Amino acid sequence: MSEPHPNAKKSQWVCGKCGSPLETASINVSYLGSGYPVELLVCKKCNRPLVPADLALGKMLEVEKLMEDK
Amino acid sequence: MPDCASCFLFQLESENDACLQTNRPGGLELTRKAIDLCGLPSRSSILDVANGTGASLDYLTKEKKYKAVGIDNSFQILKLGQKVRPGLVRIQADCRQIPICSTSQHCVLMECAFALSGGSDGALSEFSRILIPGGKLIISDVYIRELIDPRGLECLSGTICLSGVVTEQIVRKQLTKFGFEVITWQEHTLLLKKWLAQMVFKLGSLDKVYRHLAHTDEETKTLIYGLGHQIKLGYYLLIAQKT
Repeated sequence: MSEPHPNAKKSQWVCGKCGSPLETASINVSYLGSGYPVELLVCKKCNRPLVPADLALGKMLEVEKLMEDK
Repeated sequence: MPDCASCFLFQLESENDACLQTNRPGGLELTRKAIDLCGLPSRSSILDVANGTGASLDYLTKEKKYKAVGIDNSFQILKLGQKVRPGLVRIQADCRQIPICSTSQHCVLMECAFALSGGSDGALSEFSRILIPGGKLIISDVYIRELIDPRGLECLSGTICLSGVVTEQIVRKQLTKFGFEVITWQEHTLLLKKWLAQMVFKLGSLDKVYRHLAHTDEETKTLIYGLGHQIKLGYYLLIAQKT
């Protein structure tokens, strides 16, 4: 499993849908049939994770380009 | 042939991370697939070349009940393997000088190490020597899937384990030269991509992964540019038969 994302260490975030505080949890990020474990802030009630911009534009974007031969 | 024990990626394997247990694209699943394709009779003799810590060797010996022997150049890896997977037959040896009788093996298996060994004439000559007529050679490894700009070949020469990577055409020519007939060639590039993606999540970025494949920062920059613009790598599984 990768290092917890820095945002995952502090939970000042609340779920936009239900208002519950987000908690750190291990999430399996999957793309084109492959899963990659990462620690993110998650709403335990709605099961919706918070994907920080640097993760989306960093590792996730790199993996997308890699998988799609871009 | 470089000693994989000195590679940072191998140290990751030592952490027992599930995705890196076998430290290669496709892991043990691809090994199973290859062995099934060969349809070897029980008690067949198999040599696992560059066997590492012995995940495949363990599978061949305990699950498949073959008479399997592993060889690896690295004493450190063999020692670690002895600790994590005891009770297997291992020999410290170079694949270009295999201390095994001629015409004695039904199958030779080499996973993710053919290019590392230089894809060398010496290794193929030895595989041909120890295999019985009709014996199977299984190789899975990285290859050059697309050469957009031949200048990109330079980016591989500065790497630790990709310098021997060649095209499918060259792999086939090498095998033919040593009396092998390729009976199966399977494209498994998606497995290489998935493996790299796992490494990106593990190490932080693709550049960091490439840094562990090159000797210097300068060579890493060349590799990043080359793999981004000049060369597309792929992964294959092949089964060849000694004619």
